Amino acid sequence: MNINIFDLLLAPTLIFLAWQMLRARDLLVSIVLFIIFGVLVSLAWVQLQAPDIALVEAVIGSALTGALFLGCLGHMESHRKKIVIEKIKISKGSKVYDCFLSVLVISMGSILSWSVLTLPKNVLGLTDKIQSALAKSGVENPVTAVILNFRGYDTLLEMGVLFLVVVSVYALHAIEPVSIKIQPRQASRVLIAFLHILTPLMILVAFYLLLVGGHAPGGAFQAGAMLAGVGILMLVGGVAFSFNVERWVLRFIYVIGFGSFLLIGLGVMGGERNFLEYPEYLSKKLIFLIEFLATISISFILVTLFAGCSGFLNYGKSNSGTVRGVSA
Amino acid sequence: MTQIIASHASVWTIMLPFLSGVLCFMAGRRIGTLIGVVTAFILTILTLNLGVSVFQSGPSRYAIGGWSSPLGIDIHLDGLSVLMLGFTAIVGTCISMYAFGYFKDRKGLKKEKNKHYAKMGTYFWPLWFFAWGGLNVLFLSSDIFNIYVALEIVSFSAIALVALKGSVDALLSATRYFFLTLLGSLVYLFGVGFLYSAYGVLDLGLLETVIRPGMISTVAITLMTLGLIIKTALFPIHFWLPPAHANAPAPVSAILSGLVVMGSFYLLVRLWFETFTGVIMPVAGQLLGVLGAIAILGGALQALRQSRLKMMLAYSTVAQIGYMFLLFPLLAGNSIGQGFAWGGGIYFSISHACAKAAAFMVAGSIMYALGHDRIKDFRGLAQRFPIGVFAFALAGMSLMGLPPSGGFIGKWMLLKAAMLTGQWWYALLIVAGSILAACYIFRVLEITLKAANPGEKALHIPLRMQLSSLAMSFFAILLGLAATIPLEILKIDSPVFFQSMEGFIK
Repeated sequence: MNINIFDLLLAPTLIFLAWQMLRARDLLVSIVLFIIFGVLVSLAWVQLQAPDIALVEAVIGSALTGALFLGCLGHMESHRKKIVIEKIKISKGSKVYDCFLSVLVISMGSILSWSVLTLPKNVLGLTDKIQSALAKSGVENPVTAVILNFRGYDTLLEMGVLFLVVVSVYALHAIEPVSIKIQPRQASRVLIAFLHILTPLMILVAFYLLLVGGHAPGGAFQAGAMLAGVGILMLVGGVAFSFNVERWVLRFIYVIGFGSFLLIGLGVMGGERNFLEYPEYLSKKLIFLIEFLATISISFILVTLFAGCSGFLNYGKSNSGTVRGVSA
Repeated sequence: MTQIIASHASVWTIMLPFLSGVLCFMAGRRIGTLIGVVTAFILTILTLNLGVSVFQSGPSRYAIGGWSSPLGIDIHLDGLSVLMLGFTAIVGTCISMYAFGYFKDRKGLKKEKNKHYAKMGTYFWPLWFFAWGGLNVLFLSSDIFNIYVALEIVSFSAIALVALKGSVDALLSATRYFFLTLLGSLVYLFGVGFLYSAYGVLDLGLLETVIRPGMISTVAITLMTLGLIIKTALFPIHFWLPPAHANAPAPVSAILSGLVVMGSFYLLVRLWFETFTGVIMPVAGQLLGVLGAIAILGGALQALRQSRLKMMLAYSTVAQIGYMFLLFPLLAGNSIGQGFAWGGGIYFSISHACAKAAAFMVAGSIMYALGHDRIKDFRGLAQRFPIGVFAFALAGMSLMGLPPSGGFIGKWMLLKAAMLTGQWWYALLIVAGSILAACYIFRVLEITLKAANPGEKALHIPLRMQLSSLAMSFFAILLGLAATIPLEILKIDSPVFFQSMEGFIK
């Protein structure tokens, strides 16, 4: 293991940022620090030679989560008077209690870090097995092979979790949201010009990430998050496109990623063939189909999450659920 | 390890709830409800079938994606998992029937309130089926990371279900539940990370063969246990449970107290006594036993102090969870005692699921009729609402541990284990806890038997709700009368030596 100067700088910076994030009194400062923290963590993944995780961390862990936090904070600020906050007693713990907690945390932390250091270094895990089975998986990127083939079951269930999250967002609203609302507003010219350049580029990058996933770092989650970024930018910028959907179409889009994965899994099953056991000659195509549909679902679900926490959901009484954005 | 390939039926029991959850979401409330009820019955038939096949041909494995462990993920089917699947299906079907009535438009209620129930009913079904599916994944999984994903599904749907009502109380308790259960998941995942980096496998069966005692194993097991304890709400991390369970709509309380708690408890038992048997230190079991003991007494005392029925039942859940954890110290003894401890602990968790689900259903019916659940205003309920009070009394019998109920068998086996392993103080504790349980159950029953206050208005409770709670409580009693069947199933591929139970039941 060779330690270079970059690592020596990165590690303490991460700890310092985390500490500052917890200490900051202003939520906005915390969020900004969180975003920076996320970017640096993704650099750490790069240093650890895990480019797939680095991509996900940068796109989802830092950018998207940051956007969700910021949207939520903005929404809370603008509704500060409307939100009735029940008197929640926040006890100011005594010093003894604080000391007890710090001792507990420090001792747990040191036990954990010591155990990490004593981990055996020569455990290969499943690397060999994955390499030898890679030819049969239909893709060349081992990470994609694990996610969509060897452990496709886990990914299927994770898609279920994402779908579950959107159902929860719906359930938490008193009235069912009809659609995502794009408010025409006076966005600054700079932002609009910026968006005109960035939007097509981002869509391009998203599809590149999706296509490249078969043999290089990339895949549905990264692509979906990138597309969601496009949607979020449009919402925030107030720039627009026509967005006409019936209620069931929106629901269908949420479902399609998880649903198609599930149906493909059940469809290939039968006789000797187990659940999610793709026929070898079809596996490449099936994996791409699953990833493609997942990308669409993921991006819409993420945009809905952002819309839900930043007040962009439309509860309009119109039955058709049609909303038109206004072109900038 | 067995190499018989299980049929695709086990996959269907997992995937059917997800499939119908998606359909419920697409279809909206009216059709969604129908889909939900039909699915519940199909699932019951499927799991009973699965139970019969395990009974006839023994435990089996199924390689998802055809890769088989360690590369892929396996489904593992044995007596314990089939038993859990089966009881989830039975309790789940009764809850579904109950919810069918609960979320319907209520006569004599304002239009706006009915709208609220309609909205809850729309989202109840997809969330509930995802929780059910997650539980089935959990019971069948043979992979510690896959189990983490299953826990995530169960927790997220449970959180949304708690928040379904949308009131300030519900949202606050859901948020607290969210933070704690997420903490539990993360701590568990941390443990999984340690195990994978130390041993390079994730499969439960393979892990069992390679795991060695040592620092890393201890840390990993401690983390995983801690995570699951948070999720099961064992004392001292029980405080999130009562508000979360009490503020949810009645069918949700039944799901949470009956099934979700049972899920994480099952997992602990599975990990401790199969995968980690070689590396667990007996003192750890004793520690869990002490926490369980405090939970039994503290939970019961708190239950006695509550003025609302649902709060009381939620604290009763805290106490009953304590009983389940007596399994851990009692398994440390000789082989005959072990059989009783193992059977007793699991039997107790199943009969608690039935009894507590029934009790929460009745509490929901009472709230439906009266609009509140203040225990002191329950006068005359036995006259007006005989089926419900009868169902509550039956469920109460099981909670107290009176014969012939499932709770009695569970407690009796635990008592026997305590005596056989020479840990008599646990026997005293079981008896004391039962007396306290009797106090809080009879406190409610006594008031319902008093003469009614004249002129009190009550809504008519749909027959569907009444009958489903009655059916559920009958199951709690039936578990005491027909104990041999579940115990025989439990014996299949059991990690603990099991004595023949016939002699003891007579």
